[in-house]
Amino acid sequence: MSFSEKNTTNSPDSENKDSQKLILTRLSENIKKIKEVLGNSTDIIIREVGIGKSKKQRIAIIYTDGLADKTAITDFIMESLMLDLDATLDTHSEDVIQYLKDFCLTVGDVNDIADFQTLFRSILNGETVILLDGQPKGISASTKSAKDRAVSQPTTESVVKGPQESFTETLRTNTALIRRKIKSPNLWLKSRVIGKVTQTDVAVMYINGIANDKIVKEVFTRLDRIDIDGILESGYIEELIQDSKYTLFPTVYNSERPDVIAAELLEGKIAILVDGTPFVLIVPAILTSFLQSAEDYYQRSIVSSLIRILRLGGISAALIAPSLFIAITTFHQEMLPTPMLISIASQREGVPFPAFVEAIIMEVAFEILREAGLRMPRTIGPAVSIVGTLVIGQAAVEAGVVSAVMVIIVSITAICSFLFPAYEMSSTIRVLRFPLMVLSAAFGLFGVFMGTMAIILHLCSLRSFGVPYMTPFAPLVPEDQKDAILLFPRSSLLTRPRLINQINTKRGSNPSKNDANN
Amino acid sequence: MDKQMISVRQLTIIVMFFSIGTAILIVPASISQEIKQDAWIATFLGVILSLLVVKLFIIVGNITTNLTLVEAFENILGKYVGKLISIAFVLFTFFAAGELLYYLGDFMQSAVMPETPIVAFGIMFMLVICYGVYLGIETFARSAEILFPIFVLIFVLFVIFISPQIDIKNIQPILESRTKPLIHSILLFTSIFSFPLVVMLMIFPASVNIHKSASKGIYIGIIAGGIVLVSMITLAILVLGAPNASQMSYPSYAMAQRISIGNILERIEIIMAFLWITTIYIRTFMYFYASVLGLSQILKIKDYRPLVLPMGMILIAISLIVHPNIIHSNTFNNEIWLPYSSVFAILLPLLLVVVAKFRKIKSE
Amino acid sequence: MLPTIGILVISTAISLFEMPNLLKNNKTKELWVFIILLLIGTSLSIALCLKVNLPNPLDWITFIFKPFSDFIMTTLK
Repeated sequence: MSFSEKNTTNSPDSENKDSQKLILTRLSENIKKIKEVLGNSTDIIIREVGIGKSKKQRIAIIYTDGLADKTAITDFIMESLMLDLDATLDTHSEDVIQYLKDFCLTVGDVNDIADFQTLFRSILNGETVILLDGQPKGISASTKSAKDRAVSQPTTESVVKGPQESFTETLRTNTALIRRKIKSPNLWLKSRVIGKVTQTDVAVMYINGIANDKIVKEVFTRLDRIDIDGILESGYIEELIQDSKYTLFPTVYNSERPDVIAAELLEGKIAILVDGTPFVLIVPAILTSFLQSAEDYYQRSIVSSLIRILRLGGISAALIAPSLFIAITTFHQEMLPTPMLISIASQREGVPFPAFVEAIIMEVAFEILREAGLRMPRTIGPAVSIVGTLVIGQAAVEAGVVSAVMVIIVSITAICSFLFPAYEMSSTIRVLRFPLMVLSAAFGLFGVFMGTMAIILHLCSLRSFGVPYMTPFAPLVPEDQKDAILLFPRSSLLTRPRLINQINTKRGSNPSKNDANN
Repeated sequence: MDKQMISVRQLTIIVMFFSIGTAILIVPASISQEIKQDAWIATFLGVILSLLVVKLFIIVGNITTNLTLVEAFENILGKYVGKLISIAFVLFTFFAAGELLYYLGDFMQSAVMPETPIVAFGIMFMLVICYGVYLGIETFARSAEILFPIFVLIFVLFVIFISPQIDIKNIQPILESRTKPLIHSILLFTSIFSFPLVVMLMIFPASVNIHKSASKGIYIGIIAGGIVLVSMITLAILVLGAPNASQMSYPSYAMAQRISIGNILERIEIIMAFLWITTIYIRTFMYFYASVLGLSQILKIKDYRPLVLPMGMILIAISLIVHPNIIHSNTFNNEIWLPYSSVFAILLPLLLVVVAKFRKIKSE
Repeated sequence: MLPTIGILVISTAISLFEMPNLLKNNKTKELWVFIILLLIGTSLSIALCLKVNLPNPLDWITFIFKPFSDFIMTTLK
């Protein structure tokens, strides 16, 4: 599992011929070229020494300060080369490189370099490159420094009972975290380098034998199709490989928790890890992925089922509560019990706007508050939120701009929209709320029905890597109902989701290549 | 568009919703006019008669494997006759869709929101239907699958909530009506309930996965729809009493208005309206889909999607032309619909079967 | 007047929505059918707005089937 596996198959052919050129034999020319291409960047260290018996074999050690582990370089490379090298080294024999690799460099990961493209990639990845005078090849030794953020708590998805670790920005740490959870030899990892300028490392992990081979192939097809300057976050990849651009709903799931990713891998899904971000993508993703939280599986199944029903109710409320309120108070007042009707009517006495305008004002105000709250420096945060509550809540009501009941509705809606374990879905719901409000203001509950049907139609038309988005509701898969809304006890969770993988449908059986022939 | 397949379960659900259609709203009125409190018997017998009608459709479906009805017309009856009949069929479904659109608008306006013009409901409804037709039958079938449990839940709640108001005396005396009006009512019911199912031949068998269980699925769908309607009409008689039920425009809605649970859940009829908005949606969709698909097959156009929006526009206009008022609509349904639909639902399928058998005998 | 303009706007919107696709893929038959249908729809809608008395196809159907309907009514009364 060499990470610096040279994957020249995926790089588009647009590289200029220069980088394909082989390393020149003369060391000074090589060094001149490297300095030229890298613009004499001062954090690229080039150290020229002579090794061997009479110090005649000139070599150059090149690394990037900051990316490479200097201790490793000093201890393992420089010391080995300069001090411990056998003094009887024959300087011009053909297998000097092999000799160095076999007997001298005490580093784990060494590779040959033959062309400049690989050379630059190695240097900029934190590896150390050793060029020898008189040899058309070089050696790259892996000395990547492990300086990264420590594994800490997840910021966006916390659970009460369960693992508290989250991914970091370093790809290797993340893959290790997953490997710690799934120690099966069938957990395969394939790498790609995406992004012409950023050369970002992207890793794809899946459990061979459980994951659907067709979907795996499709993932790689889509990844290889990406032709873009830079990948800075997994969101870029998500956008470039998703099934449909014209939908509000996410068709790719992401998480920063290793246990969530591991659970998805066990169900036959495929994980895409991107260097530089702790958010790992999971494909294919269906609607139920976004409605479930990792914690559901760590608690008793009955409790989880009830909480899920609560969550579902809250989410529906987040979507249609304002619309329902507008529709009922504008068109269908007869539905409210009389005392409640009188109370609401009296509250809305002094309000100059119709219910719809009131609701829009409140919702927009809340969205502004929410968005501003995200960007605020930590020092000002609490003060502004207090101001927000006071202004919106109290003052607006007392000034007669909005009615108290509207504030309640909007607050309930806002809080409910955070019930979603997945953040992107809550944004979707927030956006969808507004067209529904318009429909309800114009056509009452009929408009709400129509809007909901349109949303259902849209959801039914979505696919994620070929899997219908509304599985297991439509097409109805009875066996998968045990994990859709309600959660059945673990002893009944015997089968894996059917449409996602059809090979290895029984949990508990060890994935093996034989199963693919079933 | 790629071939779209629907599953047997989806077909069953569509058949059930389709057959319920507008019947859930008007059947109590139109039928109990003549036979008063025996309407439930007429409905029950009508469902059984419908099983035979459906059998005819399934026979046609078995002959026309992989073809839609319009394609079968041309295939079996020859190019010119077939095309002519196909055009008539497309017009039949198209006008039926227009009628439904008018009906929905009239219901919403008279019962729920008097100040909104009928055409507004039509436009709103058509937008969703056009979107659905655009996305294809597969997406539509999935959406029907999702609406199904909600429908069942609300229907069961409806029955539960209204049952405290049942007065068993309303259904007596039983079998008071004479035979001839009873037969007429049975036929009338069947023509609203199952004759339009001929439209299903546009998607069966061409788009259904497994053929044999599809037939069983259709029967189940019809029976399920029948159960809903029989319950509905029985409840209407039991709760409202036959004279009232026969004179109201929308007895089911009137029933829903009477629901009162603990003084809190009152006047929730709009939620019950969800029931018939769903069934009308499914039925209008199927009619419209059949006409769009049929037209595209007559003109040998592969992808029907560009036709959807213009035809939708025409349909909205048609919906305002076909029935100037609800009286006209009721008269049409009570008097003309029976012979009119039997041409397309009975005569044409029989014709197809006979000619197909004839040609097979000739070619052997 | 206003509804008529609205209908024209909608027709234009519909054609802008569908025509580029049809033109690009050279689907002439579909294009013609589309245009004809759109014209029918637009003219019908405008006629309705101007309260023109349009013939009702169901009336023709009623005309054709009235004899049958009367027959059924008399035999089954």
